[in-house]
Amino acid sequence: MKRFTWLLLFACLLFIGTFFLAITQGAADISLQTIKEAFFGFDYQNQLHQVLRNIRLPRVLASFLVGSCFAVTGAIMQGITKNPLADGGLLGVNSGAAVGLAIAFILFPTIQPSQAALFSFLGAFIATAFLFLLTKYARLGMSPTGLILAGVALSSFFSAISQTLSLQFDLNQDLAFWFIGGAANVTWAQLRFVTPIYVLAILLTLGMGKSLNLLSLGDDTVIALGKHPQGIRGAALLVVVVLAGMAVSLVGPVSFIGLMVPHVTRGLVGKNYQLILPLTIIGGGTLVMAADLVGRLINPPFETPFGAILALIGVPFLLIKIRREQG
Amino acid sequence: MKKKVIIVSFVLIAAFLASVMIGKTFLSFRVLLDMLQGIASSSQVLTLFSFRLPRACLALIAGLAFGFSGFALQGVTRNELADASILGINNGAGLFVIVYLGFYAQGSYLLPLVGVIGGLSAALLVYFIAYKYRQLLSMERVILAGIAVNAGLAAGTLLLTVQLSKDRYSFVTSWLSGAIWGTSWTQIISLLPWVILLAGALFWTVPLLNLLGFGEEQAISLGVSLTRLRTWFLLLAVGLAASTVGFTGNLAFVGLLAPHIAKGIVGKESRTACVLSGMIGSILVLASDTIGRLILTSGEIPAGIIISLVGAPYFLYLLIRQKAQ
Repeated sequence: MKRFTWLLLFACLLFIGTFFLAITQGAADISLQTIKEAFFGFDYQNQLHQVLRNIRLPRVLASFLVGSCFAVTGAIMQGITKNPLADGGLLGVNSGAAVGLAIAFILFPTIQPSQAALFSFLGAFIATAFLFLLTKYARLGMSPTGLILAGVALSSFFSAISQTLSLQFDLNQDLAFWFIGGAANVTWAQLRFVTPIYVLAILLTLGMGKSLNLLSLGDDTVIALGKHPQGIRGAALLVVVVLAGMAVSLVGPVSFIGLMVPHVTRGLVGKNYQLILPLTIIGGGTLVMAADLVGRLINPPFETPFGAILALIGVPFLLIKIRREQG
Repeated sequence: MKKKVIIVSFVLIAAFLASVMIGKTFLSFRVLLDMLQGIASSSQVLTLFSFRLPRACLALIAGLAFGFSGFALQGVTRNELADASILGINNGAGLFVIVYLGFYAQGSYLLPLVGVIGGLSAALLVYFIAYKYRQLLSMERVILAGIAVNAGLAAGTLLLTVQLSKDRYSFVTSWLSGAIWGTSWTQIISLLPWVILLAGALFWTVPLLNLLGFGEEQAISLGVSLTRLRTWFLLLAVGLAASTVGFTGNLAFVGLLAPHIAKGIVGKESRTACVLSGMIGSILVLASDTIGRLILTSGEIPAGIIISLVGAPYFLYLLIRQKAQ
C-alpha cells in the first residue's frame, strides 16, 4: 500500500511534468511566464495567449482524456475476459465506434459533438455485444489467441463497413481529417460536452475495482459471496462502451494503449484492481499526452499521428508479451 | 468430381465475362461478338482493351495467386485460419512496394520482386519471433506474431505516407483497402511469369503437402525432411502472395476463403483441390471487383472491402467452430 502511494505520487509528478512540456513545446514555443499571464491576465491581442488557450490547452486535455479512456477500457476488458491480451483497439470495439461515427456523419452533415458521441457509443455497444456473443458461442471459451483473432476479423469487418459508407457518401475527407488529426482538432465545445460523462464514468470505474477483483476468483465464489457475476460484467461493459465510444468520437480508433498501460501497472502493483485502475488512468493519459507531444516535435510544423507512434511502441510490446504468454 | 470442376470452370468464365461487360458503359455480349469481327466502334474497343480486359485479367491472375498461396499456407501450418494477410506477408510486401513507388520509380517490372523481398522479410520476422530454440514451431505463436507484425507494418506505412504528398496518401489508403489499381498490360506481363512459375511449382509438389499431415515420425521414416518441405511450401506461398500484392492492393481473406471452399467441394487435399482453390480465388476477386463497381453511383468500392465484408464473418464462424470441436 505504501508502495502504491509512492507510485501514485510519482505518476502525478510525471503527469504534471508532461503536461507542462506539452503546453509549452510545439510549433510555437511558449514560456512559463506567458502561461501564467494567459491564465491570470488573458489578453485577446496576444497571439501566444490565443494559441495557448484555444489550441494547445484543449488538445492536451483531450489527449489526456482519451489516453485514460483507452487505458482503462483495456484494464476492464482484461479483467472481464481474464485475457491479458484484451484491448479495445485490437478487439474491434474502437472500429465499431468508428462505424457509428461514420453513420453520424452521414445523418448530420453539420455534426454536433453530442451526436458524434452518441453514435459512437452505439457503435461501440454493437461491437462489444458481438464480441461477447462470440466468446459465448465458442463453447470451450476463447483462448487469448482466439479472442485476438476474433478481434482482428471484427475490426476488419467494421472498417470495411466504415470505408464503404465513407466512399458511398463521400465522407472520405471528413473522416480522414477526423482520424488523422488526432487530438489536434478537438474543440472546447466537444470537451465541454464530454467532460461530465468522462468524470462520471471514471468515478464509476474507480468504484468497480473491488468487483473486478472478485471476478478473478471465478463465478462460483462471486455467487457464494452474494454478488451477481453477470451484473458486474454488464456494468463493467457499459463503462467500457461509454469510455471507448467517447474517446473514439474525439480522436478516432487508437490501439495498444489499453494493452500496454494496464500491463505495466499490473507489473508494478500486482493483481489488485483497486490499485491498478487509478494508476492506469493517470498512466494512460500521460502516455498519450507524451505521444501527442512527440508527434508534434518529430517533424514540425507537420504532425505525426500519435496513433502511429503508439503502434510503434505497442507492437514490440505485444511481441514480447506473446513470447511470455506462450511460455 | 469432374462435374464439380466443370461447374466451377463455368462460374469462373461467367465471372470473367461479367467483369468485362459490366461497368460505367455496359458492353453487351453482342458488342463483344462484334468486336471479334472488327465492326465495333473505336470507343468500345478502347474501353475493352485498355480498361476492362487488363483489369479483369489482373483480377483473374491475382485471385489465382492468392488462392494457391492460401492453399499452401493452410497446408503447411495445418491451420485453417492461416492467410497471407493475417500473417503479415501482404503488409510487408505492401510497405516495400509503397516505398519503392513513392521514392524511386514508376517502373513495374521490378515491382513483383520488390514485393517478394518485402513479403519474405515480413515472413522471416514473424518466423523469428515465433521461433523458440529446440521447440516445434507453434502455430498459435506464429499467428499472434503475424498479427503484431501486421499492426507494426500498418503503422509504419501510415507514418511513411504522412510524410508523402496528398495524392500518395490517398493512393496508399486505397491500396490498404484492396483496390485493384494495376490495370495496364505491361503490369500484367511483369506479373505473369512469377505467378506461372510459382503456381506451377506448387501444383507440381502438392502431393508432398499431404506428407506434412502425417507428423514428424512418419515423415522421417519415409525419408523426408519436414523442415525442408515446410520451407519450400512457405517460400512458394509467400512468393505468390507477395508478388501479386504490389499490383492489387491488400486483398485480405481471399487466401482464407478459397481453399476452404475448394476443400468443401472436393473433400481433401489434392491437385484438384489446389487448382479449384486457385479458380475460386479468381472468382472471388473478379466478382468482388465487379460488385464494387456496381454498388456506387459514382466511384467504386475497392474489391478488398467487399471481400472483407464476406470473409470476416466467415472467419469468425470458423473460429467459433474450431473452438467448439
